[in-house]
Amino acid sequence: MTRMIMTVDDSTSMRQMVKATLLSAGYGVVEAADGQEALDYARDNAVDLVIADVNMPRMDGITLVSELRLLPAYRLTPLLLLTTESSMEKKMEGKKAGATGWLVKPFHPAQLLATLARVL
Amino acid sequence: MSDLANTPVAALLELAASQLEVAAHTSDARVEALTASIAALVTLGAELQAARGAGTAADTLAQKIVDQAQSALVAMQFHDQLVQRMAHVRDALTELNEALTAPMAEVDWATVLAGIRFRYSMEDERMLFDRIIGATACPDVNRHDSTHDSLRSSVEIF
Repeated sequence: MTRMIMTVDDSTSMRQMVKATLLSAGYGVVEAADGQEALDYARDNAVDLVIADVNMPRMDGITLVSELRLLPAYRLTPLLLLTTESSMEKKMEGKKAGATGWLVKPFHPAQLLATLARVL
Repeated sequence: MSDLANTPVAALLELAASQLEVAAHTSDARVEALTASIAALVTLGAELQAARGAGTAADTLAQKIVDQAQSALVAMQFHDQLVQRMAHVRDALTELNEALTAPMAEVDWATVLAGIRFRYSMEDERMLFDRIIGATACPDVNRHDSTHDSLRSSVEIF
């Protein structure tokens, strides 16, 4: 069965690049342009993993992680943050919110796929 | 002497100029990598056409195409960072403009500067800010030793 991944980023080009990488490895992909859109989708649909940016309008990635962890269906789902942020403080915020891991942009496709294989 | 002499306005403008320079320099390097990858893809595509039916040569070329496409995909991400860097410069200039609508003596520069620094999403932006504006300009901001940030892994599983 195809595993579904949700990519959440306000940058269309970043979503396209993540999507192309995931499709090339056989994953199914659903896109959301910000945390709120992702949360709305997640309330009614299941995905196997979420890759979210941190800085986004309406709802940022760290808040999204916190909100998703409150949903019973997402308590154990791998939630990755993919961001230009590399500061330890922000990483610790993400970890505290319940993120599974932290990836710093720019991402390399092989590295992203290896990370997914590790946490799925 | 100008009223601006005892304010961080000149430093903020120098910071904006430096940020634009960093953005342009970073983008140039990525665009060069992108151009090289696309050029290689074109060459490899032509070689693949010529090698059709040759078995292992075609497989090797196909792998080279995938590698170059992945390099292009990494280089393309310069756009996301460029947009963020430009947005932060724009926001800082907007904040500065709004601050200057008040009488100079009433401007709370520590708050203005902290607000500008808070918006940054990249560690090198904060380092540039601290170097030009001065780390003591907004003392309430949480700081850490970022000397080794670039050495940290770009992937961390918690």
